Amino acid sequence: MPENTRDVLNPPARVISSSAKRTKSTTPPPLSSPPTSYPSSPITETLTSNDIQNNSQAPSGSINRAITRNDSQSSLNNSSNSSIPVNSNSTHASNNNTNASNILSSSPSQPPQPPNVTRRSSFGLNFLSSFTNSIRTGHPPSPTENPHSFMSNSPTIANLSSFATLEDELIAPNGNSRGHQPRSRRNSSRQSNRLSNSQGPHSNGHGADHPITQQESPSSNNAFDESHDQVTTPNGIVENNGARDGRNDSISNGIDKDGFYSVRLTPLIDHSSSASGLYFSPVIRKIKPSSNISIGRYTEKNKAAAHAPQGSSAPIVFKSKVVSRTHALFQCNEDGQWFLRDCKSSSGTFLNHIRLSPASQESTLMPLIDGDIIQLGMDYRGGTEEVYRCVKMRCEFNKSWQRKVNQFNLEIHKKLKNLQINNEDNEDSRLVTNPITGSSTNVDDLAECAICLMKIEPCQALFISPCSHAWHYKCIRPIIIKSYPQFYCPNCRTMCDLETDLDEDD
Amino acid sequence: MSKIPRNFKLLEELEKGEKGLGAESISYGLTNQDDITMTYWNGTILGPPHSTHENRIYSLTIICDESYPDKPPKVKFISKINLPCVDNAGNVVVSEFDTLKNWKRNYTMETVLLELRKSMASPANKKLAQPAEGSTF
Amino acid sequence: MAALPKRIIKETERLVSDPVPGITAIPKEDNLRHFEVFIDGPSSSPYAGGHFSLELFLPDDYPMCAPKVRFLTKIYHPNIDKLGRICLDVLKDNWSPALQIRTILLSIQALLGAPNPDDPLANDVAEDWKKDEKKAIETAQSWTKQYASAKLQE
Repeated sequence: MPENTRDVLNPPARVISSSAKRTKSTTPPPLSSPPTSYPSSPITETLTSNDIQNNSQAPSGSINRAITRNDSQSSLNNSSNSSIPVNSNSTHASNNNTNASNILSSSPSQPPQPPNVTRRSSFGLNFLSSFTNSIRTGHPPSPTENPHSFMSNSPTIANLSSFATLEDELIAPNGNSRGHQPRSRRNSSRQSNRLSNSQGPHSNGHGADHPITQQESPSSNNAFDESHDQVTTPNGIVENNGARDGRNDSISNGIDKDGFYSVRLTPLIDHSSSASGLYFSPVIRKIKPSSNISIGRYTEKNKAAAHAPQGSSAPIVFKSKVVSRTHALFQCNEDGQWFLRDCKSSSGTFLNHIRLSPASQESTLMPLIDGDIIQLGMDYRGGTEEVYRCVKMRCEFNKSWQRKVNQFNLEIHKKLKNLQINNEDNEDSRLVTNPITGSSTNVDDLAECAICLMKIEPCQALFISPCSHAWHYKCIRPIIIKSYPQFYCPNCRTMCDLETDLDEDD
Repeated sequence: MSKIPRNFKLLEELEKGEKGLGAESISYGLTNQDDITMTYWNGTILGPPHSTHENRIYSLTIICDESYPDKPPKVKFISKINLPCVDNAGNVVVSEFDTLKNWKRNYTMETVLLELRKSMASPANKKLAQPAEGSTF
Repeated sequence: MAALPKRIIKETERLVSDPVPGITAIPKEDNLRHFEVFIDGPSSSPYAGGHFSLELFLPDDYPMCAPKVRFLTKIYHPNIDKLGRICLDVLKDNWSPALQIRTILLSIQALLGAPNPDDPLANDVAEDWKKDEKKAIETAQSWTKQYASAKLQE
């Protein structure tokens, strides 16, 4: 692939890395954070539409397609590179990112990034996206690059606190425009820092790390936009952000229609480890800009919060004895940047495995980004019951978890349907011999899950059996686990062995 | 939990009784195998050991009318027995027998028979003088 | 009572909007998992002209387990016992969650058209059936007339 196309290729990272994110159990875990565990079993068994693509085709094929599709989009952006941005916000966005990271990477010693960088480099998604990126550009990832940059950047309490102070200062005087800016700067500067740390920039380094900037800094363009449009209201931000990413506006605009920012907390569960954190159902909370939401232990007093509906502004409570009553808080500024503060908890709040403050001391506000891992308290050794477990969770902000249907999803879904229809044709003779089940299996039914009778649509987690019948993973899961690895297809009554060796010759 | 309709609950109980899946010290079944309404049932209780009921077998009739299982069944001893919750005609008196008095929908005929047996073995009742074995109401 | 699963709502709607000829299934008002069912005897069977009443119940773990079905109308059939219980593989071991109320009722209708005395539930009926099939069919016809006549139920 020609060298100069690499920058053009960067924007598609959203697509690529989102599929990489979901298949991450098949990629090496981030070396930089050994204690981080991914919930492996549900993911490996789950097929999402994106994965189907990867499974049914040679990986390089799928990736190339994605690139090709996005190429046009990004080259559009590039073509307007030199022109003065007028209306096209999407142009701003990618230019802004590209420029920012170019500048930063070429002058890594510029203030004020160093402390910011250190914390971020330990984050795993970073690795994953550079991993996919290197596949894409045909270079193997440098084996030393990631661990190296982590090791050398290992955060310490000392530099953390200096970082935090700095971050506070950054936000305090000019919250509006600064609040989101550090985010993009942090990301891009992280990359530059890494480069400088990995002894001689890897030719791939820049391209590899760039996508994360694109993916995780939806607000970077805000700062840019504001200077032009002078839009400061939350609603203005919605529009600007939406415009930036015309393809799926609700993913990255963060703020929703009624002016709330959102956070989703998902338990970090590792069924293979006894040190799994407390299980809880994923929590979604929404708050107005410039407000707080408290995190603490479930008590009789805040009973209602435990049953608050998803998307409410109720406090976040956990039924764990190692969580203090007022343990920590989330804060969100005017621009949708989220922060975390330990509120004098006794057993500590950990952000990506680093404790924020000693027992009973308040911490500074720590900025958060998607994928950050927060741990409340430590497992209490005096008891094995669930209530003595600490709470480990992954955070996502401003609806970044919502994935809208895009062209890619739709195409994959279409292919999946074709796959099934072709297969049905072959199997027709067998189905006819079974009049009872056969009556429930015709081409019309392919669009629906035979178990819940709801439609099978893009962006749903699916399971496809060797006999090519498909159901929602959620629906078929009880049947899969009941007799695993044997699988008895409820639609055509084929007995399948889910542990069959995957020979390419077959 | 959804409410299981009367007929299907009774079919479940019947199956359990027929297959002998329940407790060994009691048994129950339909009086008439053709009774599609499943209203009339027979039950037996094996007298609990270390009591005046030891080695005796008590026969009962159980009537599960349309209100079953929302309301308790009507239970009557055929074999003569001296028990506080049983009246002179052999009827188990609802107000005297807690299982029927505080009836719950998930109780079964098996519950009733086992609770009666428990009552027969209770310290207060196990020494009660009993009518001649084999006599009926 | 817990909310009715979407699947049951969908099935119920479809039973109404796209009914199967010769079969009706209507949920009871007080329990939407409990259906009042009528199946017409297949025309080429000893049950032709019969209008059979059944009841069907969807247990909590439906569709992971089969619906419970029984005949309320007396019927002379080797695979249906005196209490109306039905011996049908898809109601027991061969249940699949891909089956539905509709397909189960079709299977029962098919069973009326094809009695199977080799896999009996009602032993006495099955024996009669094997001993003297002609006489058994006559009995089935007369029971149908006596207990399952549509006029009788109206």
